Amino acid sequence: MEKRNFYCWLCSLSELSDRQRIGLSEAYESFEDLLQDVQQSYKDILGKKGAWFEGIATKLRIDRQYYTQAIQTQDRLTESGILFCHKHEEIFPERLQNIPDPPLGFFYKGSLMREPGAVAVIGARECSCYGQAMAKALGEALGQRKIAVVSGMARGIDGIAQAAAMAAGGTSYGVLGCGVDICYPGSNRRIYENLIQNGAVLSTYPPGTQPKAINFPPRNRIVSGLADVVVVVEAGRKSGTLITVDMALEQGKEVWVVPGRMDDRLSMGCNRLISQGAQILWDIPEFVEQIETKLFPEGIKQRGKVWHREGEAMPWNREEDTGRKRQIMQKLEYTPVTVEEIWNRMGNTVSVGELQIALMELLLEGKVVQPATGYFCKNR
Amino acid sequence: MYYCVNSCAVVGVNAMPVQVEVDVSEGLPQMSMVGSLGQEVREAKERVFAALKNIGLDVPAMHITVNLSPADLRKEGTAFDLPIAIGMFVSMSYIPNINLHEMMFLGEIGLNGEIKSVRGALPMVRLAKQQGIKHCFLPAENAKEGAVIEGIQVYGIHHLTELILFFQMEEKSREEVLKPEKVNVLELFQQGREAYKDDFSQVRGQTVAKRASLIAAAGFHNLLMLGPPGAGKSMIAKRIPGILPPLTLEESLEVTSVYSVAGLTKNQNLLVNRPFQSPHHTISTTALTGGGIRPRPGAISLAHRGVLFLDELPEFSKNALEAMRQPLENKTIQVARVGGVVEYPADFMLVCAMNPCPCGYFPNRNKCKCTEPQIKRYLSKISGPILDRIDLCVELKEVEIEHLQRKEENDTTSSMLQNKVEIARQIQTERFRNTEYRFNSDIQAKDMDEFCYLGKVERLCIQKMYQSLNLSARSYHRIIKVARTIADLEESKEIQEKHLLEAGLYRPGEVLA
Repeated sequence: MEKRNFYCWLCSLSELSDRQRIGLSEAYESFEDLLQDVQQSYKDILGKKGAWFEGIATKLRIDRQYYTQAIQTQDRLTESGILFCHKHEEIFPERLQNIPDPPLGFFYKGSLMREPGAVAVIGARECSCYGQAMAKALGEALGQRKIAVVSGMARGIDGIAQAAAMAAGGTSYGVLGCGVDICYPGSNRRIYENLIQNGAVLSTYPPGTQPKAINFPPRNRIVSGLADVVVVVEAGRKSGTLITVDMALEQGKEVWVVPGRMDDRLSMGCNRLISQGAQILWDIPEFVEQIETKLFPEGIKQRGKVWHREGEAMPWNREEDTGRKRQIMQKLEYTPVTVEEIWNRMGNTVSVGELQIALMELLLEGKVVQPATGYFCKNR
Repeated sequence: MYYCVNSCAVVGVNAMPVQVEVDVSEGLPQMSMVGSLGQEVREAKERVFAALKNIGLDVPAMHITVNLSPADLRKEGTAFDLPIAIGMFVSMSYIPNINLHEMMFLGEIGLNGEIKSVRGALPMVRLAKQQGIKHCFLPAENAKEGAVIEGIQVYGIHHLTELILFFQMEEKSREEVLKPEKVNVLELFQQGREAYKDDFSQVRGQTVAKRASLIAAAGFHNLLMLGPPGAGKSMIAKRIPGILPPLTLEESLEVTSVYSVAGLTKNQNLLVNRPFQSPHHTISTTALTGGGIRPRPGAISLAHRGVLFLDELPEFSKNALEAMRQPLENKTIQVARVGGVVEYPADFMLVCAMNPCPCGYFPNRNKCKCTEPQIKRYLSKISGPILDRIDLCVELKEVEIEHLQRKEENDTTSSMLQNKVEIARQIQTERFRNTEYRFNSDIQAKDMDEFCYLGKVERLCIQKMYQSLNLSARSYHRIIKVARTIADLEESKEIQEKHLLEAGLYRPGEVLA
């Protein structure tokens, strides 16, 4: 218990890096150990920060109140619903354990379960409708198979995939770039609350840390670390998502990529990853089957069959209405187009009024979506 | 000797009678002017004196008193120069005694005796006719405008000497000097319509936007066009006045009065086409709504009975947009100043255009790199109350090359659309007889059931839309109102399901709502 308190306190010192925390945790078992260390061996571990840490240690020695506060760090957090977990604990995710330089511990809200598999679904924040549809489909499929979805709870792909997974009954983990008590971005409040119920939000940053741009790239290491497989849904040529991919490769995780069209800005990063040897995620059921075979080779039969591959392979390839609506659906894609454009694609065979009426019916039936006024695209 | 000359002053867009009394008597040789005068009216003294001297008339060394009555009405403008001069001529016997009761004079005088134009000629002539005046003398530039009023003789004069000559002639031969201006109103309307060259057939592609314009024009709904730069938003807006029903004579007089008061009618008779105002987005609140120390009509009044087009809507100052709320509701604008309250008409159709996001290409993510918060911030510049008053929202896309090159043979022309609008308008006139409403867009929520009856199927339809599209109460009403207009366009008595479905597409998107 004392060890745990000590580690929690170390993790709440935002000045320290992960490696330094590990170093300190290996050198000392508890507060007592630290205070009795007269050789000041932490100076070797901390380098430049040694002098600063000396100040802290001195304060611990002489300031009774500060000392009490420090040893009670964990209790105070628990009171506000924030839990702590360090790498020597049973509950600490095994996948994260095995990456180079794992964090000493992290803070979380929610619960850590031991899902048989976890997939990181990542991608651009400003995503296209195609990306939205794919993230949703992927999240849903993984959620149904009870494979955890790990992501950064950002706007766009991250949040969509996580929300879809939870809606389908699965679990999800959101790795934040700020303290777990802060919901960033604010617009994802609902996902944040949901994650606490159906998984967890977690962060290596101490609670109260503000969402600064500099905090986000390091958390990507944790995103890929928590997953067995990383899937990139949409990424531009210079996307931040590519950082996560680098981390994943460093950690030896498999990378799958959703392909896109050559001239789609948000697919350029994806296609490039494919050319560099990433796996192509061309069909969701096949992907799910493959990762299931790999992750739990013995238990595939017990988990039941994946969808029928023939005919209705993709969940959105449903039987459409006959006649006009079917004709419209054939002309629609995941790229939003104006009514005018659809009308032109149909060769002006119907009047604009009729087309609008049919589109509205399709919208009400949920077969198309309207991402902006006057624009339509397929819904999955 | 005391003489009284008829004239008038402009208050708002209406004229008020003003008597110019001139008294010439023995005494100190000076001229005094009284009667609550503005700076420019007081200066009339100098202009008249110099003009008299320059056309070769002597001013006798007598005491001249000029009073403008009613004395408590603040007089402004330069139109009193001429009546003052006439009063002096008569009192100094330069022109024989004339029947001043039957005449009215308006005009500014230059130092060489030239008569210059004034503002507000049309409402002033209109007043003259109501007052039973038979002859009205106006600056030549304003004569055409005044001559539109029938039953009064309007003379346009260029120079003071012309007028003196006119009065010195025998009554019969006066026509040799000055002929009353004649205007054929019907011909004017004809010519004006022929001169209107902006036609919807010139707009290539954009079928949906054209359809939305038709609906907007038919029900006098306010319209918002979203689209990237260069999609043709301004082009379409400019053609909407051409599909509104033609102005009636009465409406035309109203519009011309506003322009006349604003001083924008030089050498023009009547405005026979519906006005189109397109102020730049840097416009000040006062210029938009009207006002100033000496109130003048603003852009919204100049768009009276026509179209006010606000391009780049989010770029307009918040104050200016908010100031339009009251006129959009009441169809008039009241400008209160220390000198009193003036009211200008402002019954216009609001057509706005804006980009869907700061760069203009959303939701095309290949081009648009705006982040979601950026887009939200951009759209939130338009306040809810303004959006509330916009019934139709339509999206335009850049025109494709095939559309520009394709020769569209019998494309919809403005006159075809105008015919449809007129039919829909007639149905509305019939429907709103004995009510305060004129168009479908006016219908208030409380009267929705009376004028927009929905059958069982239609009720279910709108219910479904309400639920699955997350509508608000106000967009619910808007959809029904627009559906009513679509039904009118198809001459359908009842609102049908298809009308509702189409109307649903023109609702402002979720980001905007």
